[in-house]
Amino acid sequence: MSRRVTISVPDDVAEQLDALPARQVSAYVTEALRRRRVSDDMRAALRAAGHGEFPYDPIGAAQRLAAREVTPEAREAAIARVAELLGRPADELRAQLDRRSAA
Amino acid sequence: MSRPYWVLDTGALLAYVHGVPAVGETVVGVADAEGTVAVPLACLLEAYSLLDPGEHELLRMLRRNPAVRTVQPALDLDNDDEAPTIGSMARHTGRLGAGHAAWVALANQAGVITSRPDQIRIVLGEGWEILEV
Repeated sequence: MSRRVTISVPDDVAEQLDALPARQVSAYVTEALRRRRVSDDMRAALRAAGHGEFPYDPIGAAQRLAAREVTPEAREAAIARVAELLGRPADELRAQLDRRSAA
Repeated sequence: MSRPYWVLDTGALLAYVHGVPAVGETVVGVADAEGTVAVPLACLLEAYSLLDPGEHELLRMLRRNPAVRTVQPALDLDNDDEAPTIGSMARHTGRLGAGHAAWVALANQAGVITSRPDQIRIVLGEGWEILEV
């Protein structure tokens, strides 16, 4: 089920939509709104749990996440540590981990 | 599907339910960046065991969000059985949820949000990315 809606957008957004093939505009806008809904729903869940308000900041959020990524070196060190703790060959453990991350 | 940015240990789930800002800011940032967080099944069960039934709906709201993925152990006896590995890791962490959280974090090269960084660092080492809540 779908229905037609009419909206007004700023010029720069209108230009972005004008650049799309006419048949793809609805799908493009739908995808963008659904992505935003994930953020809105997360905020609703947080508010229900008594959290405060958080501004919508996808660029800043991506930068903060990138700054705290686990490095490949830390992963290799952890694999060696876990292999020793568990008494298993590191290569075997790494293969199991890789199967999991690919799943 | 892209790998999760963070793994939510039991303490992180409790922190979300109890309104701790650090976990809220982090999970909303993940959603804004169109990423995901992972909730290991053992942590989820531990969290429910520690919550008042009146708080269960809050956890349900979090789990319903597409940015939150509950991760079950692989249990294929002939090809990939993670139960012995996770159980063995839990022998060292001292808690089943910590063992599962550490395993999921290692598999996905993801940081861990936890109230017990000591338990995670026993298996993943001092250099692992951890957000204490």
